[in-house]
Amino acid sequence: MSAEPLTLLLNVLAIAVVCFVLHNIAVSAFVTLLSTRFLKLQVKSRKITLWFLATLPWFSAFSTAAYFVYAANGLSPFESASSMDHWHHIDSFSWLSWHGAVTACALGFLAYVISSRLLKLRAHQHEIKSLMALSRKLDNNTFEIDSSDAAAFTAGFISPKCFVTKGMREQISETEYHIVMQHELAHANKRDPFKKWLFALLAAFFIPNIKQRLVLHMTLAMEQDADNAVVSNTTSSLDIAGTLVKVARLNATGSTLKNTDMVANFGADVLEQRVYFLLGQLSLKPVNHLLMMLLAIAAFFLCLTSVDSIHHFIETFTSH
Amino acid sequence: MKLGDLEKLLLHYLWQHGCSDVKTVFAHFENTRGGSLNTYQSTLERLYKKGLLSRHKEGHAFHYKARVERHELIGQLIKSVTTDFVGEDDGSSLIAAFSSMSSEFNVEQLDKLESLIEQQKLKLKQQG
Repeated sequence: MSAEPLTLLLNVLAIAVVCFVLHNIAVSAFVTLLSTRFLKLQVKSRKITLWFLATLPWFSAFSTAAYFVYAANGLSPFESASSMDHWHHIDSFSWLSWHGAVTACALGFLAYVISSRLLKLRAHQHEIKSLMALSRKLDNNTFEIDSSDAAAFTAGFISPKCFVTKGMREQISETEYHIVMQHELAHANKRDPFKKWLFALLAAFFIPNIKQRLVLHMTLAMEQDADNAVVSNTTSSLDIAGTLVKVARLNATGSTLKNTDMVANFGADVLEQRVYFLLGQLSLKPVNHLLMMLLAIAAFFLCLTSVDSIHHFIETFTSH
Repeated sequence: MKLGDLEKLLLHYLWQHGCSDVKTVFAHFENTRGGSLNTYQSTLERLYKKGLLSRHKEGHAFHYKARVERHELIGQLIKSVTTDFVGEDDGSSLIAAFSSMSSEFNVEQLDKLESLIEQQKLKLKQQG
């Protein structure tokens, strides 16, 4: 019997939510156990691993949901559909059941996270525009802010802009200023503010502790990548490390840029890792891409085969 | 903090000229920017409500004055842009800063890192 399109869609959404939660828990356990080992991965590999982990629950949820849609239309590639995938009432859905409650909560949470992030982004864009209007334009992408505090940062979603304060320029040498600007331009060229926002959006669906760890690792990887981009024939990694520590000292005496303890610890840890990285004191290894691919496929099959068992397990505690 | 184009323009004017009423402001911008007296009145009102202007009544008209100095507003904006999503949330900043925007670095830790860099430089010098 083929299901009504809306009923099928709602059941598939419930399946996707179950898969998402399952993989969210799996990724959280993985990050809890192995997050310190991420630091031993090469920067590019670490970034790929982090994107992989953040998107894995979405990938498994969408691929399993897509499979069930095809299977419900008689297009299952497996001989016996019940041997691989099963959802014992794909043709009926009630909002007054745990499926309904879970689906409604998931949709509500999704709408809340996306809308709140978009609203903050809009306010952030306005602030950047205001800051640009109050700054001196050095070139198309670079602005000098008339402030005595030492700060340099890149911000902006579609067209990132680099900002540097007058205080920063006055308190560091020509060479150090060149390093700071090249670092910021590397962030702008890689569109890091947008990538950070997107990654943080994906990470927002994990519990706060895991979310912080994921974002922390991605921030460190992005900073190290930008540091790497500055290294050239004329600029050594030692000069960059020296500039980093000098700027950190200037920040420590500044008054404008004060944050919470969480950010302070986070900043200090990131700084230490960046300096060790630039001094070549970390032996970093690449990640096995084949292993990651196999993990993604295994995750998909695990979801496909276990989703109905989980369904029945939940129904030992709740009614339909 | 959101600031429109006209709001920024009026703030600049008040930073330069000090205290002004709406008619003086309008007279200054009438030829160069255009717009009606009401537009300038409502913009000054908005800036006042945002806490960026203070005002007092002289006769029938309000006289507006910038409540925050230029550098204070810039400081607020830098803080807001760099801490958006950071302090209140999860470290997921939209900015990518050269050094983490923190004033809480441990001085001992910075000393340790600095001496490590010096050692490495010395080592390279001796090798080269």
